[in-house]
Amino acid sequence: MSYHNGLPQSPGYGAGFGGGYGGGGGYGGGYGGGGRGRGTPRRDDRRGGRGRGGYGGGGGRDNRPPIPENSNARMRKMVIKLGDDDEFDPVEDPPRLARVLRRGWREGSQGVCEGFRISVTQQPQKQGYYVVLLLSLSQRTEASQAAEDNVDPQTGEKRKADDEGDIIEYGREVLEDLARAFRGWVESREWQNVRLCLHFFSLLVPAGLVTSISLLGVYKSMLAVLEEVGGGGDRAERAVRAVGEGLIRSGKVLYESFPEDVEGLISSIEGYIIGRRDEPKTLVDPLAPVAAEGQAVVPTPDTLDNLLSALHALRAGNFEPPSSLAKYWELVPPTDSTSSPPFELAAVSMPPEMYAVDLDELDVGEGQTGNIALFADEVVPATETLDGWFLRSLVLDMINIYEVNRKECASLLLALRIHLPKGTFKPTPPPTDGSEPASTWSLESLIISTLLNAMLTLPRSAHKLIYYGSVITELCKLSPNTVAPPVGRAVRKIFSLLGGEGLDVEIARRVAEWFSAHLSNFGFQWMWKEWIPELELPSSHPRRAFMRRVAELEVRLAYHDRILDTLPEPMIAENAEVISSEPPEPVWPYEKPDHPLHAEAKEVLQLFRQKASFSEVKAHIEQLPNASTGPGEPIFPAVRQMIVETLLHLGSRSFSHFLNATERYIDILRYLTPDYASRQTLLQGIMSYWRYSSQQRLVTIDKYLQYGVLEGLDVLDFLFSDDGVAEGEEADGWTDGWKWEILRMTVEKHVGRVNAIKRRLRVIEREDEAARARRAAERLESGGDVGTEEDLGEEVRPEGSKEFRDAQTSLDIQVTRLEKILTTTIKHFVLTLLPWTASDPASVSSAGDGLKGVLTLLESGEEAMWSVRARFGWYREFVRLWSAHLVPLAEVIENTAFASLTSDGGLEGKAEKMVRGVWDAALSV
Amino acid sequence: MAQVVTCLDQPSSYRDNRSEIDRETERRLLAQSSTLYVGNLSFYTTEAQMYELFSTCSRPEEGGGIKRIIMGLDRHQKTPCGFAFVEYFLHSEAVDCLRYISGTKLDERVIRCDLDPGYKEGRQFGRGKSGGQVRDEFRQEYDSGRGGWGHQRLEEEKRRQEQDRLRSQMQFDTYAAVGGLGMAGADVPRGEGMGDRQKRDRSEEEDEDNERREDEKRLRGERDDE
Repeated sequence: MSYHNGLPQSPGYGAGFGGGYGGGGGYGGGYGGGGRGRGTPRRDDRRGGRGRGGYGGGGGRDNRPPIPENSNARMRKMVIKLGDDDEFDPVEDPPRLARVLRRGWREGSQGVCEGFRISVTQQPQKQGYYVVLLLSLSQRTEASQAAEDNVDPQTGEKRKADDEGDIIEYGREVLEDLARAFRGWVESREWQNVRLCLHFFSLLVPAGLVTSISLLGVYKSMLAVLEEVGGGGDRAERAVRAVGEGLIRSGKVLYESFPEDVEGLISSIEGYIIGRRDEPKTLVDPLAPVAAEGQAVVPTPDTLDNLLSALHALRAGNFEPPSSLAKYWELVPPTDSTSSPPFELAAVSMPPEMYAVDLDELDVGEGQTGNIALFADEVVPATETLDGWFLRSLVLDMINIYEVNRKECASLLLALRIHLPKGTFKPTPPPTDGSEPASTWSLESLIISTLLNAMLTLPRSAHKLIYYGSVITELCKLSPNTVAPPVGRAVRKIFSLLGGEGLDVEIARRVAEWFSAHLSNFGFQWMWKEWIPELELPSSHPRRAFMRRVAELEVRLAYHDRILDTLPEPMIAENAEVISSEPPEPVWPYEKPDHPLHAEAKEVLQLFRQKASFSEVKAHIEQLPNASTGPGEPIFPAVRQMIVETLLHLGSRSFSHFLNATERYIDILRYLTPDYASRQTLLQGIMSYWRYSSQQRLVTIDKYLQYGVLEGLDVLDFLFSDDGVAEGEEADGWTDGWKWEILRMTVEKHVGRVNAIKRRLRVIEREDEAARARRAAERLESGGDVGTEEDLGEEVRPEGSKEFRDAQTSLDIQVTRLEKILTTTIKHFVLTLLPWTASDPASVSSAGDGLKGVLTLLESGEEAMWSVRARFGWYREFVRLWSAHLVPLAEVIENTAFASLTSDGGLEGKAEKMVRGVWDAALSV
Repeated sequence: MAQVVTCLDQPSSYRDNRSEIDRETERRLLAQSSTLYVGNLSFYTTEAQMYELFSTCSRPEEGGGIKRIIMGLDRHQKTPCGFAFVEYFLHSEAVDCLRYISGTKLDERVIRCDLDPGYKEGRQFGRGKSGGQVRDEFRQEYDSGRGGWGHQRLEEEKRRQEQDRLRSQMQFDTYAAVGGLGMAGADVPRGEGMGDRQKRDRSEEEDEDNERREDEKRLRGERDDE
């Protein structure tokens, strides 16, 4: 894979990706429910019919008989597939389909309506076609009407004259159905559907199918939430985006008749966007450089800021819609037909704000994206321009819609070129006749930019990181020559933002994670060479850390020698610190005969290997000479650590071996680690044994937490202990991210426990409810009087079963634990960043000057102390990621973590303000 | 969102021909299964590599994660033979692998994922006559990751062979040597249960385990990966 323009040296993909799904067709009548599909029938061509020749043939899991295709299903499919043909003509072909649909209307009108509902909300790239189709369905020329009814023109006319109401208003039926669906989506808060359907309605106004005044009514009814006390919450933002994007499509026509109303809408949107508080935005700014005195930091505009700029551009351009919006209906030649009168949309009433956060999972993240300019404006139009907004929004919606099938997603994205107006993008390959192409925009760059920004959305991306990466992988497989160069450019751009530009540490983490997995799919080939000059930077610099992280994650996915092979000479040189000098192997120092505990360790290992029982091992440990000050006295930490490391050694061969060793000797682990201090020894043992493998450190601690050997607080304290800032600019666990990796896992595990119990509680609640209802029904059935002892017993049960109360109790315990974890972490962060605020400065192990040190150096123009900066970045990420859990604890946090922040001037004051500012921003969300 | 494109998260139509459970039960098991069958692995791929890749689909904040990995072994040699089971805590995690991981590369091989009704003792072994997977007995083309001839330049081939030898030795040590996981078919870890257990409270887990062993006696089914 070549990330430069040029031929790919890509290692053999091809094989293994054939087949795919030609399927899709012939699904029969079961669409509506969504999520239905078959095992994708595949044929493996490599095998040329040998072996079993693919599966899916007879006797598969899905052996339901095919449902015969009825008219509704057939017509729905025709509607959905509109425009999928290679030869498709957006002006000529929809009328043809319209004629077919009319002919089958009586049997299949429901299918047509459903086809529209699905297409409008799931194929935003083809909305222009559906406008033309609807336009054709709405036209009724008398001749065609008669022809379609397949009756003699004369009788046809006669019938019409007789009974006007018998004429089918095809377009109106579709619109009525769609309008009904739209109201339903609003009510059930399906925001993505709401927004996409409103896009479509907005296109229908310039096409003359919907009245301006009624569309305005819909816009206004949606923006009514802005007037609510408190500003409308989450719904306000959704409404603003939906209406704003609607205006981009309909503004021109609306403005001709109702200029004041349009201006009014824009100013309410403006009022809402500008009126937002700034603090929450600072928390999710992808660039957060530490600013020197007097140096202004320009905040990165967020999605809504971009929308407002786009709307301003719209107004400045006389409401002319973006050039990349397809307006095929304008090309439809006027006919002598009489059209149905334009449709009147009904205003909607927005549903009340939802407070139960748990239930509002629907469409989380819809329309949300990060906002890093990865490409030059002439390659990908800036998101604050009209076209930039329109294109990004379209691509983003497609990414969210097609999440169920990354392969289809990739090919549909590349097919955008066909669906958008000709000349929207720079042609590939460039024209051979030397003529200057009309556009310099690159479709592939737009797609990569949108995918990466969606992936880098703060605080969370809408889908798992790997989803976005998997689409990029598919894109690169489909079109390596055009996709790989923009991928490479994006990575270089992101790399350039590391360091002084202040790219957020979390963004760097995600990029390293994605990029290493990406390279793992393409032979680990990357132009490392161009980063050789960066080796001049101090080891702790974010760019150096990024290189190290990518190499480390690559090694995890492959093996040390493999990655070593891909790096240029200067990067594998001694002290280059790009890749670990050692493979990620364990270190069991007791192997060496001169180790003081050599003999003891060998004995213990021997016992473990012989699968000696807990009591045998325990007895052995107790009688070890020189293991403690005397019988019954606590074991020396060194001996404790030796036993722990030896147990790790027993399980070092694989993850399964490790689990086995842990399961077999869990009691030994517990016996060895009864108190806080001994568990710190355990952690030291893990660190020492797996010193060359951050992955094994993570896995080991993860599982020890899972098995209840370690507690969250043990891990936190360990991560923050010995947290001295190295003199000079050496890398550490914060710059390199492995400490954060463990910290995040620890917090997530506690959050996960709370969520798992909550889920269980809900299940128990439902079961209890069902059981009560059943008993009530049984009693009723039996006349309500024959209550046996047992029945009575059941009846007097209080609100929940014993199971419910038990679960409630463990929920309380877990919630308390989580709270403790969260408050402790924030306290640790504050202390390491502001060591002078410690009540007992000696307790903060040589954390240097913390942020004050960074600011002091900055005064003299020196960007340094990257380790402290990294900590500040992770602190910010910690607050951002778990603000929903932290904010309810504000009082405790205020009293424990922030009470001692008292400086108000000087660099100490400034540093305290930085730390507190992050917390205040979270509180203001 | 599945009306326009097919979902990638449907289990394949593979059926374990040694399984004794009926189709309906199997379908029900699959609908809530958190076990993933992973195929087309290189013989050299380690559990740690799998752990790294499959972690990308875990949801620790929902109480998920990788519970255990069971490496598929050659019945006779007791070395990896190109398949594995990855068991998560949550069904949704396994499903996400079908969407995002199946068909991508691990250790430079395109791997395949499928939902599995659940691991049963004995299924970790290959079912081919040779002890490995059946499919490798039918394979005729070169496959470096599964021991075959290559077209690479001689030098690179030499280097790779040396590396393969080292990695192969490592895999032998892990599974086939004394203390290896493949010997006696024992020692497949249980994996700790969901994370909501109180510290040092193990009784529940042990009960579950006994129950499962009963199950295993009842349902001795094996899976050959196609």
